[in-house]
Amino acid sequence: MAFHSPQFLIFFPVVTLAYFLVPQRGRCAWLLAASYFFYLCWNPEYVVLLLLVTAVSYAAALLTDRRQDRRWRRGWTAAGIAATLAGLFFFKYFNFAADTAAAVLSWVGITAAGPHLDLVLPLGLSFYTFQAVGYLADVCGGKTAAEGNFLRYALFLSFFPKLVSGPIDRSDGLLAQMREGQGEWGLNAPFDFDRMRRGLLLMVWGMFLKLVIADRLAILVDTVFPSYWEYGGVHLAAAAVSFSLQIYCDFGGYSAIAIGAAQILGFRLMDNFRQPYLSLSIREFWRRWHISLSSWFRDYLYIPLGGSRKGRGRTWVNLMVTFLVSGLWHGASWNFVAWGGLHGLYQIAGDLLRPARDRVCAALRIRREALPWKIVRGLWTFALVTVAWVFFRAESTAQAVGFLARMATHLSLSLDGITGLGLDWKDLLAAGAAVLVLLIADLLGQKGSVRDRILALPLPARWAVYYLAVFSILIFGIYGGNYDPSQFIYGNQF
Amino acid sequence: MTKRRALRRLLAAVCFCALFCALFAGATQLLRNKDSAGAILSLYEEPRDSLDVIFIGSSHILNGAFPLELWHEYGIASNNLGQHGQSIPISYYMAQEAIRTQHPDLIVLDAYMLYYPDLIYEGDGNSHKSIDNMAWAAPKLRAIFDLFTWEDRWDYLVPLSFYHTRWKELSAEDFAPIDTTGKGCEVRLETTAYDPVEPVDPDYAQPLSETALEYFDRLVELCRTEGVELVLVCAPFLATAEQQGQMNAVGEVAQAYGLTYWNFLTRLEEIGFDPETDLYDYSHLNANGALKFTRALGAELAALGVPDRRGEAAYAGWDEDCARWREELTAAAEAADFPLLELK
Repeated sequence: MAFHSPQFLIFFPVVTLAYFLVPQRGRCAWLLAASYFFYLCWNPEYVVLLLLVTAVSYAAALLTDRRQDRRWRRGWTAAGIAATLAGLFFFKYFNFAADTAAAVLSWVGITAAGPHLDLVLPLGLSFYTFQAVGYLADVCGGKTAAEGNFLRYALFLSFFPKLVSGPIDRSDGLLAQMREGQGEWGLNAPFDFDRMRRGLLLMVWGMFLKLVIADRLAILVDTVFPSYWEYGGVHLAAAAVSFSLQIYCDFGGYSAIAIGAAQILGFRLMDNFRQPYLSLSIREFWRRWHISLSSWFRDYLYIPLGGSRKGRGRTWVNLMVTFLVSGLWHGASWNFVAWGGLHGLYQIAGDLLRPARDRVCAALRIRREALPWKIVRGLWTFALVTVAWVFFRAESTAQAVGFLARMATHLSLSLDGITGLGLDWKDLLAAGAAVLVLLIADLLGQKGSVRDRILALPLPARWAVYYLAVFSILIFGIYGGNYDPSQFIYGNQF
Repeated sequence: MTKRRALRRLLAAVCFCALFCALFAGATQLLRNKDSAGAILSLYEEPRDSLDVIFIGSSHILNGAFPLELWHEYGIASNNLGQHGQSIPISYYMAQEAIRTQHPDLIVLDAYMLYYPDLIYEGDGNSHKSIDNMAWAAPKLRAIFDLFTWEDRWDYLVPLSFYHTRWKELSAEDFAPIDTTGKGCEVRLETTAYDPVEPVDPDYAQPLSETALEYFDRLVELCRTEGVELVLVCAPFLATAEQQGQMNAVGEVAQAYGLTYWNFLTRLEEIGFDPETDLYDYSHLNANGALKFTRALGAELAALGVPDRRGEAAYAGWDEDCARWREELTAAAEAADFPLLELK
């Protein structure tokens, strides 16, 4: 049941309505039942895995919390984390590890065909596993107490708005809201019209990003990437930029719907995207992109490794390890590792080149706060991110390298054939207009909440914005799509 | 929140939803494909229970039976609910709609689709042409829930989800009113010349579609329950030997149910049908073929006792509609350089 499916359009209002009608004591159970139903609609057989991860992490946290001794606490936490990660490793990385081992062995002259299992990655596994691991680490570190109420903890892991693709929430965020007895947020929060309005606005924005931009650009991307050698440099650049926008609008759109849906129900999820393509450096990009994951890696991997506290060299090692693992988290394939590695290298190179950059800026008397310089830095950062995304989108590292090499060696300024990439000129125009709306929204978002601006408008203007947004999605969105003009070839009466 | 504020919010929400529904309906109407829409929409322009005869079935009847020619020649008040590729299951629900709105004395079913391969419906476009133009009432909903899977039902329940991609092909015609002057028929003003086909032995029969027969059985039952006479007809077309065999088999089915069946494939000479001049393509009549077929059909209907309504006060507008339609038909034929038969 995808967020943009007709089923969700029925499911969500029913769940919300019932949620505010049932007595407060029953709300947790109701949301848990709804969340498991939501998951069953995707992946009925893997609900067992969700339950197992829930039970194991729940028990490990309780066992950790009972001990005062640090070694015991760490022991139970390590055991809990290992058991929690076992499912993720098996389903996501078993084949990758076996193939890699076989490749390494064949390198040293030993031929060994590793076992290759026919596995389907259970939906949301990477997300809820990481949430459970973060929770166990928090309990171990005394940041939070172990949750004794199994239903509440199960809801923390399975809460349907964020179950499938995050945001990966924290014990001091979502779990704390579920624990709190009173207040504006959480299980006891009353229905709030203004909160609903804000949540709905965010959901509509998410739908716009997903259906109007991401799914439209996906047509172009899916046309070019699989046969990149047939296209010229401009087409490949167009596909690469389109993928940068597609992945932002796809994931950012999903996150907006998730956060909006949770907000309507009275829960505040972590921010996940904060105008990432307006970043002026790669480091800043990672403070704005997939925030719930990048902050997770910061808090539970980079800082425990020593962060930036142990000298420059160690900081770079920690950075590379974090980004390589992050790449692997995104996909069990070397091109994802290369994507992560590239982002690590960008940052190390940025550190190394900083003195030279400073000297150049001083020599040229560049005012760093001036808008033109900011635009140059923003475009440069976007270009670097886009190059890295090619590794993310490609089927393999070799394909990504081939794609970039062809893009660099077949450059021309001709736009001929740009309408032959799966989108006709009207679709390109629609995509361009929608991206312009996104750019304006992101620029405004830098200065404050766009929702606040909309809600402050007089009623007619506000309603006009609502209708414009909804009908843009209904008319220009990529959905349904069974209509085929060739089936309507017969003319009218005379 | 004060009671007054809550009421104000409720009122605003109601207004917002009402305006949303109006805009949604407007967007749907603008973006939907209007090809052949007049064929079914014309039904809703007639006063309730004013029609004596309603035609249902495929494009054979849609292109073949001209209600206003029937009016002109025999004073028969009819409407053509035929549609391109209208399968028998869809015709069954179309008959329900005809009975709901008009309760005619007679429903004439085009038998052609009884042979059609075992499909519930033929092509998304064609089923949409029939169902999207039906009014939101029980027959339409029954058809949607009976004939389609959930994936497709959504497209019928919310047609905007099916048609929204048409924003790219909108033209001035999408903003013009839908033409319903022909009372449901669709006229073909082109000719493809063919050699005559060899007629088969009248006893030669070929099997019919089981799905079509299942819904045909339901249609017969519906007409019996509602006291509507059901008649079967096969319009002329360039039928292969197998198709002639299938249309012969319809005769056996009609006999088994005790229904009247007019198989015009066996009466081509009698009505003056000429495959060189009367066909739009191998399967459909052009305007001249349709005029010949309609006149023969009118004679049969009159013989069955369908009343002549000419001169009745309730049908005063029909003469004017007829004159306008004939005028438009003549003008369109001239514009298309089509040698239209003389209109009597």
